[in-house]
Amino acid sequence: MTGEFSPFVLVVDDEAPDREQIKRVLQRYGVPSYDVPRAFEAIAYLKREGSFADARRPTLVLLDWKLPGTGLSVLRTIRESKELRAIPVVVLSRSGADVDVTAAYNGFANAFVKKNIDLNEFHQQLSSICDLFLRVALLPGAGSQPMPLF
Amino acid sequence: MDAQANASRTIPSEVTSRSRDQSTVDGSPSGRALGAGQHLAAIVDNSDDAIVSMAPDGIILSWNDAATRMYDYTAAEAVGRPIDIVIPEDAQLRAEELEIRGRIAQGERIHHIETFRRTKHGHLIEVSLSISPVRNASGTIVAAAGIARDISERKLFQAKQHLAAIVDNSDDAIVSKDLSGTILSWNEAATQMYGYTLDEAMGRPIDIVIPEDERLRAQELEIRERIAHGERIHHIETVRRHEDGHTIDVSLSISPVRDSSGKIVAAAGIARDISERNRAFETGQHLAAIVNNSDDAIVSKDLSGTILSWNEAATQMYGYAAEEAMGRPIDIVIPEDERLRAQELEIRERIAHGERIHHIDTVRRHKDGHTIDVSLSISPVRDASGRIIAAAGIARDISEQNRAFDTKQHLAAIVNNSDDAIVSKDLSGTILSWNDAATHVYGHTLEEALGRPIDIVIPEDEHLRAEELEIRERIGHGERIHHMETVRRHKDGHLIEVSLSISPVRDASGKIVAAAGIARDITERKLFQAKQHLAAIVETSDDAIVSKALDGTILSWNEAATQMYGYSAEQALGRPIDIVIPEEFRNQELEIRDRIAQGERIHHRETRRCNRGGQHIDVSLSVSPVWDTSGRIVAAADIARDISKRRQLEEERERARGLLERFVDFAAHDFKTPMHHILWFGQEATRLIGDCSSMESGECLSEVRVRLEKIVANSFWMNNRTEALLRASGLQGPRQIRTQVNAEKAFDESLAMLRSVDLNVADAYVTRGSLPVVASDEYLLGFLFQNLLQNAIKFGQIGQPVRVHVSAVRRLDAWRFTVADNGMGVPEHLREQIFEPHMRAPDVEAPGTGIGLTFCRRIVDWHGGRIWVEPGRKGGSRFSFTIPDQEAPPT
Repeated sequence: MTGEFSPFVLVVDDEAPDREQIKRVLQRYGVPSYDVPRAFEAIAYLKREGSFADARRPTLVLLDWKLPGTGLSVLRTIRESKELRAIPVVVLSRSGADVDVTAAYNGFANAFVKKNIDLNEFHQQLSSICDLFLRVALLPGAGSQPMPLF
Repeated sequence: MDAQANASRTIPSEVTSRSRDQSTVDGSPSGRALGAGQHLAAIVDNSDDAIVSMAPDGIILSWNDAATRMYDYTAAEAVGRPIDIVIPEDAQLRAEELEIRGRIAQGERIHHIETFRRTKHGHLIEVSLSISPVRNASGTIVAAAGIARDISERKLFQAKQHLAAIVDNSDDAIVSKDLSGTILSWNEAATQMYGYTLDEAMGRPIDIVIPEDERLRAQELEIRERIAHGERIHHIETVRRHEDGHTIDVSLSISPVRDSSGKIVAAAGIARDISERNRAFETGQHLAAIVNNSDDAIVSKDLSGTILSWNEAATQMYGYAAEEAMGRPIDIVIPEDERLRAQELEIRERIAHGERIHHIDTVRRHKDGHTIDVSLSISPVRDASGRIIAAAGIARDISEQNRAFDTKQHLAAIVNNSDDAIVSKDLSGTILSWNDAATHVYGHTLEEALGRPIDIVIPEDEHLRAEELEIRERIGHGERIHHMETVRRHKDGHLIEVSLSISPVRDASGKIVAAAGIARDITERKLFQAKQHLAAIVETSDDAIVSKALDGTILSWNEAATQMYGYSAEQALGRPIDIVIPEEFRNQELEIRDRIAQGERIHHRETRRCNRGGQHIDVSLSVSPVWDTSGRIVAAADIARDISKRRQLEEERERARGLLERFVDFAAHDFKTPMHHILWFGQEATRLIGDCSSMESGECLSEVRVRLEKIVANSFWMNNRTEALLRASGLQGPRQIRTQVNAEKAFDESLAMLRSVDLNVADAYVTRGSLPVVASDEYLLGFLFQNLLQNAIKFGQIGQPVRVHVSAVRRLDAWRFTVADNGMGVPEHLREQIFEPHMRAPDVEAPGTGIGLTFCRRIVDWHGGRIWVEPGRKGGSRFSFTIPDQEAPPT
């Protein structure tokens, strides 16, 4: 990782078709990503443990909530670490149950998005997330300029 | 003698002739003696006690009506046969009988021994037996007269009395009513709670305690309806009304009360005041103990020495009949000795001054001239104004000399021995005779009663006085009155319920000259019936009611206690209460008993008991002292209401709800993901077809084909899972049948299906050994493999490909399958928990599948097998389960 700011997304989701769709949208924005299927890998990646020693620090985490090892444990790992806690985390879930939504915000998630059953709508949701966190919002270390449009 | 035979109808002719022989030996009795004999014979005949006399060799000589009723032998069947016909065939009882006869032969009397007798039909009866010797004129013992009273009922009474004391002492209002709502019993606590006294409440409708509210009245009717059908009402909270109109919140339990035939005759309600805890408690138990111990000659005389009264024992001791003695000077029984006559004058002098003479030893003279050593007590008799008008002497025979008897003394002994009040009166109602039991029952001494009108024992009630006149009228016409229940009055004014039999007494010419009444105090019997009713309430209560002595020994134990604690009454009685108290509550129990001993009560304390199996039960406990009739605290009554069932039920409901939620969560998650994917692939395929014109046709078709294949795979998957879930949820019923399933095929198919929808599985290395054919269900076995495989993949090591190997080995009568992985392993403390439905450890658990292993266990349980997890030899986990061979169906 150089001093130069460039966006990079960590995708944590246990469903391969979901990861596929997310990656497709990110590619449209030209944002590189890394995906892991389980919480355990995500945590190892973020802590740069084992084979993840040289892992690239993500500027955004898209986190599925219901996955092996639980989304909550990944969120906690990020918020409890001085180095990681500034990284925005957007939680994605098939469930929109309030208990999950509340737990995510209590764990300092930046947004909670219920995955839409319609593929086009789902893409729209992902585009909105990318617009906000990769274009509109300023992220730490990115300087005063948001990422230019294409 | 003709007159005697006439009166004593049940004595058959041969006995009469025996009596005649004796009377010949006696010499010619005077007409007066004949009259007295007849009088007493009528009394024996009338008695409700079985009165039997027998010769020294045990041959039955006489047999009254009551003996026929008690033993079922008629007089004709019994007389002349050995007394053994009524003695059970028991070596000990036969020996007892021989010993009694020996003692009688020595002149002893046997007072109220409790023993057993046998009826003609072999039925045993518990009796209280008094036996006295019968002597002829020369003093020779010629017979024994036994008076037997059936006390089976009394014994039962004592047991029921204890339970009744519990109701009386309870601090819950306990009220019973018949099915029309009329109040039948009302304990002290009911008076405290509702304000009505027992007298005010009895016989009135239960509505007096129910507020005038349509809804509450309807509720009461509904309750009675349910009770009539044998239902019980448990702890409903409702409202009752005090006499003064204020309302009381109560917790009410009502149970049916059955009579001895099992018919529901009443409803017993136990109301606990839940609005007000402090009730003033009053106890006013008063027992007057009247002890009658007079087998002694009791004679009264005026201050000039004229005999005023003369009891049967005096007749026995001095040989003069009452008729002979009354009106004559007392000197007839004082030997002609200057010193003794002087002593008598001195005694009368001292009595006139109000002194009492205690137990002086002196000498008296029998009618036939022989002297008797007596111990004499004399006390002044005062009239209503306190003036001394007479002296009453009680003489006890302390000589070893024999007293003379004549034939009529046979019957006199019987009357004297009776526990029933036996009183005779002339037709104008003047009392002519009065036995010891009459003194005991009515309180008037012989001296007080003789010569006075019978009205002294009749309550001042117009109706009862008229009844008495009518009775005398009927007696005058030769009628007999049998076992009439009426009310008599004690000297101190209290009323006594009696069963009364009255028969005419005829003189030698057959003219009716008097009426002899035999009264039995049935207050106790009435009380018994009332107490029996209360005992039934305790027995049918659904609260465990246990009483214990102050040292903790269990004294009573109702059916609900048996239900709650698991000990039967036989197992619990006599054992320490500690058998149902957990060790950590033993000190509390000691403290409670201490407070009970001080007269305190414990109200609704929440504590814990344990049952026979050692399981703890949460109870609400009330403890109250139990007083005996003398007012002493002798026991503590525990009323325990099981509140653990309520708690347990709540917990179970909670668990079931949790399980259901998780099942729904599992099913929803299991279906939602493939459903989404089907939809997405469908949408992509549609869009691709729209874009085909801009693509190479081969490329377009293959892209669409990939999507359609995924849609098909996910549809198969969903169908398969639906089938497995439906079968798994029906496992507890008998619907599912085991068939021969090829485990290799089931495994390969479920793996292929899993791979087609889950790319994580597709990336894993899954291998298997050879698998057997087992008795199972293909969907359930497939579900088992799928869940264990998914589990292995979810918890695989980071950065390492997942490896899973499935194998099976033959055990004695089962196949053991093992799914071994190279994953993260299961921490030791979770190895049992992960199969439990309540397990929810969010940091470890995979989404929505926390219940997956619970389903696995259920499926294995259905096979009759076992599932467990252990660490692999080189790390990872080994999940194993067994599938037992199916037993061949019985032929």
